[in-house]
Formats: sequence, structure tokens, C-alpha cells
Amino acid sequence: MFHEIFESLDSFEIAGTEFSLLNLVLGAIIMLIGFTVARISKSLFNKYYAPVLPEHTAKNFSKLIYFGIIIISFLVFTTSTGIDFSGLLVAGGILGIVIGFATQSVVSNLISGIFLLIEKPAKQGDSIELPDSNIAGSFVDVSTFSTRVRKFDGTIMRIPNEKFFTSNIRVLSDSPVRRHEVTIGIAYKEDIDAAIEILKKTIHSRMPFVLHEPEPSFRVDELGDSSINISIFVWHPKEDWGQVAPTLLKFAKNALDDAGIEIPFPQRVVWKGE
Amino acid sequence: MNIILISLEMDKSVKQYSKYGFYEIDEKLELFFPSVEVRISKDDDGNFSYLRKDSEGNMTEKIIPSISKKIKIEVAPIRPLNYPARRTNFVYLKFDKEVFLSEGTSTSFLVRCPVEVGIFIIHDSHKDSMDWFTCDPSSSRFGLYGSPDTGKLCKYYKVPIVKNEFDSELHLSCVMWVSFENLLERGYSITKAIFPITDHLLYYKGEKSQLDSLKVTLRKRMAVEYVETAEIRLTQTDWIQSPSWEKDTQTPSMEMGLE
Repeated sequence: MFHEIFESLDSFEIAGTEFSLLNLVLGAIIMLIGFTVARISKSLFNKYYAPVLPEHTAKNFSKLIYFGIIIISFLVFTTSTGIDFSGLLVAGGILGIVIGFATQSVVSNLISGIFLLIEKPAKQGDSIELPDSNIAGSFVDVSTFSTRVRKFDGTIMRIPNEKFFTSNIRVLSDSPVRRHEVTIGIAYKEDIDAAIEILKKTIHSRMPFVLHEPEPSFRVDELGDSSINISIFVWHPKEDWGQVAPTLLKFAKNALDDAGIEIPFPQRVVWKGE
Repeated sequence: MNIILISLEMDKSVKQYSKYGFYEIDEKLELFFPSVEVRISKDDDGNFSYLRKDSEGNMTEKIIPSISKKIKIEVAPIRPLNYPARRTNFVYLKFDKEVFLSEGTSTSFLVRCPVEVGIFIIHDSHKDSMDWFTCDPSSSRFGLYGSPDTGKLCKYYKVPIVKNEFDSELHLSCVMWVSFENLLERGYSITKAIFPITDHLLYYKGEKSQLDSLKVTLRKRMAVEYVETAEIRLTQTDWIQSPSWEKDTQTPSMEMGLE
């Protein structure tokens, strides 16, 4: 009975293709089912399979499943209702060019997003830095128009894909280890070798995340205005920057203080002429 | 009250530490390790409480809910991968002496390999890891084998070559047989061994512990020299196999937070 009611309603034509209300209702039902199945499949995947996969792979698979099912439902909708989109495509061609010009940056971001997904400059969870934009944080994901980076202060920075794609990207967590460097100054009267030995012992005993191979290295960098500046280079696992960088200088200073080695501050001697 | 091993002061400097093995607790148990002490006692509410204290005064406290009157634990050596953090499956053993292998020769020797200590709760046939610790945190460090971009992050230990199977140190180290075979057309100096220790099982007997052997063959195929490694399981039956446990880096997926 409902079928007859819908059939009796007038059909209409868009770009040479005839649509009836029945077609549209059927299409809406197919798409609704498609969306529901896509959401359920995505949820099931995220719950049961995603946790055992690498984060970025899981997220890409999740998107693939979701949009794949939606595209399949759309194809089912077009074939089952007999809608021919070739007419629409021809008519839409000219319109597409006009819209393309008007939405240049949007399209640019979309295309850059596709290139970013292909190139994969970083994996999800990688620590990255965009030196030009002064942004550093953890790479979250690439979405349709923008890339998200979780800054180390916990906030999320949304960067347009085009800008991200054309930026210099420094990946901080791609190698298994990273190097950290600090400089500390000792007074001219102090024994450089003794100071280095004290620093070495302290780093070995107090800093468990500093690698023993390659060993921490020390370099007398500069005979400065007030001090002999010693640079300390230490390697640590990529995940443990936070365990090393904020404490290295503190341990070095405390070790020199305990050993009675002077860390001078800038001084100027003024001679007064008679 | 069942087994209670109390530290015996043999003299001012030597302490007798608790051995590896099984302990049944109905009221109270005290275990002594190098620079670490563990106390497990029964509370008024029927639960057991667990306290670990190290020489720096750091304390770890846990509650062990129990429906039975006794609990059974196992103290066993575990692979040294957890302190200061779980980052790798590989160990890098730097030998204290260099071993020179002439062309076409082979040799076997024992090396010490550090261990951590695991405490496992036993119920039915399951062994659940309740706690772990290292008795020598100052020597548990990382090292890199290879270049910074492609190298392998390892737990790094300087180890001595020892003479017999009973040269392990209680709660600090085990011993491991390492055999090398040089099939190259030149002599080779061996100073270190890098291998995935997760492929090796640990065993203990009283105060002693031992790791599966490592067999290394130096070969040449075409113009390429390469190293082939294999682990060899311990076949002596009077050693008890330690429960394997490493800190998991993955957190379970869940709606609410729980750790």
C-alpha cells in the first residue's frame, strides 16, 4: 500500500535523471543502514582490534572501514535505484571549476592531507617540532583539512594540512635514542680533568636513563669571560627526554658544588687610574 | 606460622639473604635481599599487606585481598629489563676480558648476567606477578648497539667471565654459557654479546640461577660475514624454571581509567 502511495507521487528530474520520492526514501534507508553499519563496525574495530595495532595503523584502518562502508552503501543506493550520475557529473563539471577556484585553500588542504597520509612524515604519538612555527608536541592525526598536534602543555594545536605539508618537520622520536647537551662553567683556577671526572661519576651514578654506550662526552668549549665552559653531551632513550634534560644541569651543578669546584658568575675588574 | 626466613647476622658485614623459592604465609613473612627488605603480614580484616623498603628509604605498599587463610608466593629471578624503565628486549653484555678466536676454532665460557627479582602470587596453577625490583639499581643502565639512527637500544651491563656454574650472585646475577664458533677465514676478537634476552628462560636452584645458553656462530656467505645466534634450553631437570615476566608497555583498552 505504501509502495503504491509513493509510486503515485510525481517524479522529478535533475540533470536528465529522473528521481521519484520512492527512490529517495529507499536511498535514505540504504544510506542510514550504511551509516549505522559503518559506525558499529568502526566501534567494534576500535574496541577489539585497534588496541593490539600500532596507534597510527589502527586509526587509518578505522577511517578506511568507516568511509569504505559508506562508499559501498552509496554505490548500492545508486545501483538499486537506477540513478545515473553521468548527467550530474557533466553538469557539475563547470560548477566544479567555479567552486574549485572559490575554495582553493580548502582543496589545497584536502590534497595536502592526502599527500601527508601517503608520505607519513610522522607516526601517531611521535614527538615532533615545527621550528618555523615554533610548535612542538606529539603528533595526533591528519584529518580531512587539518593536522592536529598535542603540545607538551596538553593543548591541541590545529594546523592546516597545507601549512603542515610545506613546513620543516623535525621528528624527535624516530631514532631509538636522542642526545642532550648542556654547558656548565668552572673557574679558571680549577682543574678541568678533575671537574670532568666528577661530572662523569655523578652522571653514571645518579642518572639511570643516561646511556653508558655511547658514554657521556665532555668538551671544553670556550675560555669564556668569567669561566671555562664545559659542554656535556649525553644520550638517552627517545622516550626519556623528560628524565634527563631537566635534571642534567642540576646534578652537574650539585656535583661541582659538593666537590668545592667554583662555578663563577660574570665579574668585571675595574682599575681606577691615578 | 610457616616458613619465615629471618636475616641472620653471620658477622657484621655478611647478611644471609632469603633464597629463591616458594614461601607460604599464614601470618607474617620477612624476606631480605641485598639493599631491599620485604614484609608480608596478615591484617585484622583477613587481607594481607605487602611492604617493600629499599636502602634509600623508598617504600612500596600493596594490599593483597585473599579469601583463604594462607597465601603462597614464589621469589624468583627475572630478566633484567624493567629498571629504570622497560624500553627494550635486548641486553648488551660487555665482557671484562677480550676473547680471541682463531680461524676455525670454537670456545665456550660462562658469563654473569644481571637479574631482577620477581615476587609472584600463586593461586591454583597461576603465578601472577605482584612485585619486582632490582637489588643493584646503580648498575642497571642502557646502551646503544649500532648507530643512533638505526642502532638497537639495549640494557647495558659490564659482566665478568666466570669459572663455574655456581658463580651467580644471589638476587644480583645469574650465569650463562656462551659458546662461540668461528667459521671465518680469520681470527676474531669478541668483547661483547648483544641478544634478545626475552628468548631466554631463567632457572634457579636455591641460591643459584642460570640463563639459557647462547650459541654464536660467525659465518661467511659469499663475501658477507655475519653472526648467527641461537638460544639453547637448559636440560638439567633439577633447576626450577622462573616465571617469565616483564613490565608491559601496553595499557589495556578501557572506557574508564585504571592502572
